[in-house]
Amino acid sequence: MDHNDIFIIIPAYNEAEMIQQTLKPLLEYGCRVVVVDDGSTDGTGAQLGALPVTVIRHIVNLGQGAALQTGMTYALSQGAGVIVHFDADGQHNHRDIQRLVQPVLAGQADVALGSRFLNKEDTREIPLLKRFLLRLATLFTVVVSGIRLTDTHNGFRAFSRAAAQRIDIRENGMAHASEIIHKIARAKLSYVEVPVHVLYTDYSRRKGQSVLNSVNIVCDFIIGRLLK
Amino acid sequence: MLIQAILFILLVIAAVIYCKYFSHHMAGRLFVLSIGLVLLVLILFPPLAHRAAWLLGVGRGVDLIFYLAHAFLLILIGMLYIKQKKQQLIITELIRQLSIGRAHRSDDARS
Repeated sequence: MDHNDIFIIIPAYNEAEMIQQTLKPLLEYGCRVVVVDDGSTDGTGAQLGALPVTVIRHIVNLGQGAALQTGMTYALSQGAGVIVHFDADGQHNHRDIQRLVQPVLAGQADVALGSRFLNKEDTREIPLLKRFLLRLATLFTVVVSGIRLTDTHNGFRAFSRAAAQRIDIRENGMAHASEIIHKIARAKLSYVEVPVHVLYTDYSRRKGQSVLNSVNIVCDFIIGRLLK
Repeated sequence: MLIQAILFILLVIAAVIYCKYFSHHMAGRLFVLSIGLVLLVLILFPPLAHRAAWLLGVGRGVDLIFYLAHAFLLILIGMLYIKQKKQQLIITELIRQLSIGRAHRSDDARS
């Protein structure tokens, strides 16, 4: 795969420990890699070294949603044809990128959404409590957005240029995941779910969302909808 | 009564602060001021509060004022939250444009 118009957006906040390990395999694909350093204070920027990636640095921490939108705005300004969201904590498997972007490149869908629940082996690796919360999140999405997905809070996604232009992320925090699905529904974009593998390491668990924060996410999303 | 004077002064101070520092929209000012005015009248004329409470099935006039004051505060908090959210969007956009303007290739920075 050699696609110079595919932009991989990686929001990174205090990921100095893992960022190089996450980036290096991505560089093999010939895609444009954009790291949005979301006001890190642990020297994440310095860890990027001489890697051929574009770095955009928020001077203060705004949140993952804001970082993704910054990356998308930049990628669109650079003529991106396809935009991929990819986590910095090493959770996502770079080998899944080709499978994820394929339906978008082929014009079969405007958006490809990664899912941990389409492959039984991938599902089994999800911690039990997380699995339960993710199932609840899918129900929430059905009620709020009318979209039935198997995995609504998977940060591994691919957008066509036209789709990315129609999704303006306004939720700075983690509620952006629900917001993106909601905007896909509202803009009547075509979407497809693609099986992806999510790796649960000690590091990614440490960096992941707490159970209590899922309540905050729901509140942020609902308030965001009410104030729209 | 002393409590009437105290509440009167507090409400006037709150109205001045709200109009001066928080809302620049005439509709918002009129809405908040009209609620404040209703509270003021009820505080200054307790029999009116009793009568209104009886009509609304609340019981005592002071209970009606208590409930209205809570509603008044909740509306104020909501308005402030909306304002804060709007400012957050503006700050986010400012930081976004600033950071995109400074975007660079990591390998360029080293060479």
